[in-house]
Amino acid sequence: MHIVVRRSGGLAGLSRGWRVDTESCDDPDAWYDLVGALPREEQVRRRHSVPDDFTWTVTVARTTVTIPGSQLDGPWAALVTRVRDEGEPVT
Amino acid sequence: MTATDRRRSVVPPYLLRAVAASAEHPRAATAARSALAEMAVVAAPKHEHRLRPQGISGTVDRSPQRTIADAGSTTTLPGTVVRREGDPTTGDAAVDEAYAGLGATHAFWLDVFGRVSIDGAGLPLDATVHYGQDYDNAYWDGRRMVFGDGDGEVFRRFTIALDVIGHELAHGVTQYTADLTYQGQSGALNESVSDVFGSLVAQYAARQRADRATWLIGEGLFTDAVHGVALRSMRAPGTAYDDPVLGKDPQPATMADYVETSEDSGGVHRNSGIPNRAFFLAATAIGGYAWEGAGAVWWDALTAAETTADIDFAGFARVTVDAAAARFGHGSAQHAAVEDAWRTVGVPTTS
Repeated sequence: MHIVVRRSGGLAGLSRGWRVDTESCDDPDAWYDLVGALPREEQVRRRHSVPDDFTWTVTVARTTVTIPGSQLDGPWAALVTRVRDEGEPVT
Repeated sequence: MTATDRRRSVVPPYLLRAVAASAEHPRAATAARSALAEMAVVAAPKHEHRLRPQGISGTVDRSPQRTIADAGSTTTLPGTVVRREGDPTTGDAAVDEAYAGLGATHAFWLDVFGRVSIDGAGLPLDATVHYGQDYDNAYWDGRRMVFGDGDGEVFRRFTIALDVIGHELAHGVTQYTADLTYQGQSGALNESVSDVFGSLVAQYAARQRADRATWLIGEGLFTDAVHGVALRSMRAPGTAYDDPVLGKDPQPATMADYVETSEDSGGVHRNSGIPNRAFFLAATAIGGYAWEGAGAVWWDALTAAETTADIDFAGFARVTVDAAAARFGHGSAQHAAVEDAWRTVGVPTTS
């Protein structure tokens, strides 16, 4: 399973990205637990109008979700943090 | 005495404000308060309806009401209050820089445009520092400013640059005036307005003329490891950094290079380079202090009824040209400078 996390916006306007292939990780099951903890239903989010906020785009397999930085929390935040820590940077 | 003479009072407004607050010289203080009140009226834009929220009357406290909180590296807002208005320095650089930066920004809006805080009605200025871990950003969430410490590898703490503090507060001013929609061209204008007034806050604090300003945004934010001088350049968009890790500054300088993208709310931090350069060109062609020339024109435009929330570059350009003619006269040097600036960056000003 491929997981890609992209961050755009922010005051600096610098886009960054990170990617993992869970099959080649030491502990694939831990990744499945992280993904399994994600909400099944799309969450209702506040209108994204926070200037200079980050925008996170998280792609898990073939599903992509966009989350404003100021509303990134819970299981999504846990997944994003781990992909940033352990993933390969992508441009 | 004409309006222009009064606006160019020989006593700088910041000195008047110091005298006005003086307890030792009550008569001078009274005189200074009168002079300040008069200047505020003269410098105010013509569209009073945009100056303050409806339903507020009476006198407004014109002093800053700053409160700095510390999130302690968490993302929980607002965090613990660590410095209130009038408190001494704390020794924490982020706290004290935020406090000083909010003060300098408040003084800019009050002295130059007679605007009391970001809503024109004395809104308390709240900020949170030490937000998150390795957090590479600063933002205005509609009520407060939030500053990260940076990751220490690419970014240093975000309170280090006064223009960045001015930029964030200007988002608040825009929210209370034109309320430019944060998407596409109106979003890029929202960003550009924050760069313009953020830069002017720093120029005003240094009493710097247009030809002496760096016209850089966020100078000093990058660590020494980064190949770059700042986040953005208003003088030469696209030249602020060129780094093996971060890539090259992607800002266009003219409409010919306008970026279509779904990222970053439609490239609001990229395409802002176009109106940024138009402002730089107008400000340096007019000369002198940028807040008195092009800055005053942009402020008139931001508060003009014609500036709708979803206005595009060409629409805003036309409003600035009309504002320059209204403030400085049709055919004036300022009017011509604003028209030339937009033409140079490829934005038409004739409908």
